[in-house]
Amino acid sequence: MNEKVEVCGVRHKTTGKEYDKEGKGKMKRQIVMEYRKMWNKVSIVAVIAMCLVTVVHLLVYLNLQYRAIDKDGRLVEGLASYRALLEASKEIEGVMDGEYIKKLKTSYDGSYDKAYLAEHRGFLGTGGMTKYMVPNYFINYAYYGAYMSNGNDKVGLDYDFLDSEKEFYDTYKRTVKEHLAELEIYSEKQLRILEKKADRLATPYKTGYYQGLANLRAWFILDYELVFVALAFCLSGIYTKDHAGGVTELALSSRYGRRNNLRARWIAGNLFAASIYLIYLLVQVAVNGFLASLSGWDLPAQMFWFSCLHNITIGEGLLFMFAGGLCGGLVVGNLVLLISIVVKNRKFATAVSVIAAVIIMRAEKAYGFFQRFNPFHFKSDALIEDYLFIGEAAVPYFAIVFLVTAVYVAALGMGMKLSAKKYRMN
Amino acid sequence: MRLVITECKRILGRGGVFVFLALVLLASLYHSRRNLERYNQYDEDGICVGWPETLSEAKRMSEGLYLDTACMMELKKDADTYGYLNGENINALISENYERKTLQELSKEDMEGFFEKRVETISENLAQDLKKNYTDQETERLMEKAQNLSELPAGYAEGWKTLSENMGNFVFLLLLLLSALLLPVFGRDSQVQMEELAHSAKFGKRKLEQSRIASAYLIVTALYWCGMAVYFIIVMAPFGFNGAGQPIQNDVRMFYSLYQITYFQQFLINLLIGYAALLFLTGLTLSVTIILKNSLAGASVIAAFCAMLLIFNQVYVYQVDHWFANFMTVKMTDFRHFYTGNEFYRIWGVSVPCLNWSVMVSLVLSAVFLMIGILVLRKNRKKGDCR
Repeated sequence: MNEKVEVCGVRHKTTGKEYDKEGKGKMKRQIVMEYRKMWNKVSIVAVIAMCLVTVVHLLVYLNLQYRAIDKDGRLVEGLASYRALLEASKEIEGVMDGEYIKKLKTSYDGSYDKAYLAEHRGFLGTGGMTKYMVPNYFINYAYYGAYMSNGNDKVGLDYDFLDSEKEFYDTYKRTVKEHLAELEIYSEKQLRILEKKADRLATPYKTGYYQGLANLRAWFILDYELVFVALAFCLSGIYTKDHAGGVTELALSSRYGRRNNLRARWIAGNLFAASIYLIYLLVQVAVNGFLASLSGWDLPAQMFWFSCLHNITIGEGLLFMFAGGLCGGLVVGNLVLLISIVVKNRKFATAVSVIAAVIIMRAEKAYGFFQRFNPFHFKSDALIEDYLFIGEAAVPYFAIVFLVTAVYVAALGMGMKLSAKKYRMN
Repeated sequence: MRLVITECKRILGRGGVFVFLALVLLASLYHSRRNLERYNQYDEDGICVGWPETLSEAKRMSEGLYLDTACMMELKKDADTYGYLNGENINALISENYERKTLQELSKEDMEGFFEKRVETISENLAQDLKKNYTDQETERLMEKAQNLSELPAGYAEGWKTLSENMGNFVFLLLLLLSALLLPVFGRDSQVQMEELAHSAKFGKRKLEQSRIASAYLIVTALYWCGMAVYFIIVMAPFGFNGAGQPIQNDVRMFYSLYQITYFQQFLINLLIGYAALLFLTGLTLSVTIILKNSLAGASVIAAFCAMLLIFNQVYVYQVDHWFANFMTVKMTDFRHFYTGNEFYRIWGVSVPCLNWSVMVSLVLSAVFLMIGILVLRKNRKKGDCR
């Protein structure tokens, strides 16, 4: 028995290549098997509960909170309001150049919407919608900057800078620079670097309808905590001893089984975490798309994130947010796996995981370093708007998120590896 | 009874009691520390006056103090007349009543019309609150209550104020902890095959189930009151128990409340609301674990349900709160809205205050959940289902 054979590993002393292939195949099969085992009763119930809460939250709030002025000037309430707004918004689609802005002013001044807003002072601030929201809010941002918010008083178009396209976009870029300065998170030197980026913004911008995507962004952020809760329940049993799908004497007693089996569980756990997140995302995209359409993917990100310095579309911006959300999910998934391998008791591991998830979510309210490196913050608007500086290089926050995720996962993986070596059944 | 005692011991052993008390103690001490930190006075070098001095000065200087014209005139002349904390409290009430105006901006006539101004503001608030759609009778009833407050003691009641403000968070935490304790009552553990044994006994099925339900309610009731007693003592001890008889309007958060009650009465009412919320969560937990037959699957449903309530609580939509959230655990333990929301339910032509109706609906829902659980148990028993 001097041959070195690794069942799911790599080497054979003489015919290593053939065993390598077999080993890889077996590893793959083991990952698939572990992944399937994770779809147990607890996981299925947790995922169904997550999806149900997401759908109920969307349907109830989108139905009760919103109403829109349609193209004929009628007020449409509830879920039908989004399609009515989409239809009405076709009239305001276009590139916001000088000609467009003049037409917009004339159209808005003589519109039913303006008269209605004058009479109903709380309309826009309480879930009311009009087709003029998107272009008018963007123009008003150029005036209000950091103090911009939704509401009837910040939708008017009586500004001198609207007389020429150049003046408008110069004002807009100046406002972006002032807004960045008012955040008080950048030094003077850093601001100069960001100001150069602001000057390079590719104007004029296209405008149109994006309410479905706005809802998607808002509800994606609001319900994201459900992913963390589901992960805590689904992944906490992977390495425990008292669970039907957990670690057994057999897995630990084979010569190479311990390392390979525990590794397969880690890979399957990560795949499972990604699956849960993707299910969540799919539900969000499907329901929002069905109710309010996903039109507006190709509009510039600045229509949505006014102070964004990237020349990207809203669709690309949302993809960054979704990627950030996946990163946050993977970090928490790995944390739950670590808790599972350290604690080894399923119920206790679940309790600790839920508490850890709640602490992470609560800690997002902190400022500065603790907020930026919190996995729950990885799905925020900061991904599109913020920069961190390494020396004089402005690194977008989303790049930092990807990097930090890799560090978190590697560190947690190391922790798991160390715990795996000492894993004992008694 | 012996079965009930055995089940109680199974749910909560000596270790469980110890862990429970340790958690309650920890949470109470944390709350107490956070509360007291607010009473430290700071200057550039850090804490200049600690909370014990601040509180003892406030106690000493507020004996027999009423918020009337004379009090306001004295305070206007000398800001330190009643000490730092009493001065702050009175200024906060004045600012609340006079639309953020300071004491210095008020004339003697303004001061004399303190309670008339309060009534006026309440009347305006009621008129502007279009969502609640008050009937004339309701408005009249509320305005009558508003006029009942004609004098306002401004004595020391910091402990009770703090208790009223933060008790809800603790009650919510306690409720979650207690519902977690109940998960194994009907959530079976697949590795311990005791169910088959219990179900094969002659009288095992029904009696065992009844005693499990009884012991679940017994344990949560005992632990709730015990936990609240520990919290009450730990939070109140540093402040002292003075001020129990002061009206709740003495607290700026409750200034516009139309409930003519004292802090002590409010505390008792909050305790009972919390207990009703606990019964609701107990009923829900038992029925979910009976249906799912798995403690962790049940826990995931309860966790998702609580997460949903917390998510719903982030955005105010009147209909959601009125027809759903008001009867659920999160809103039930957010006690303040019961006293300041002035919300009514119109039941067969009778306007019932939100507080009363929420407690009633919560109890009815609790009974409904329990009934569902019992029916499922009976169905399983008839089927001879052990899985």
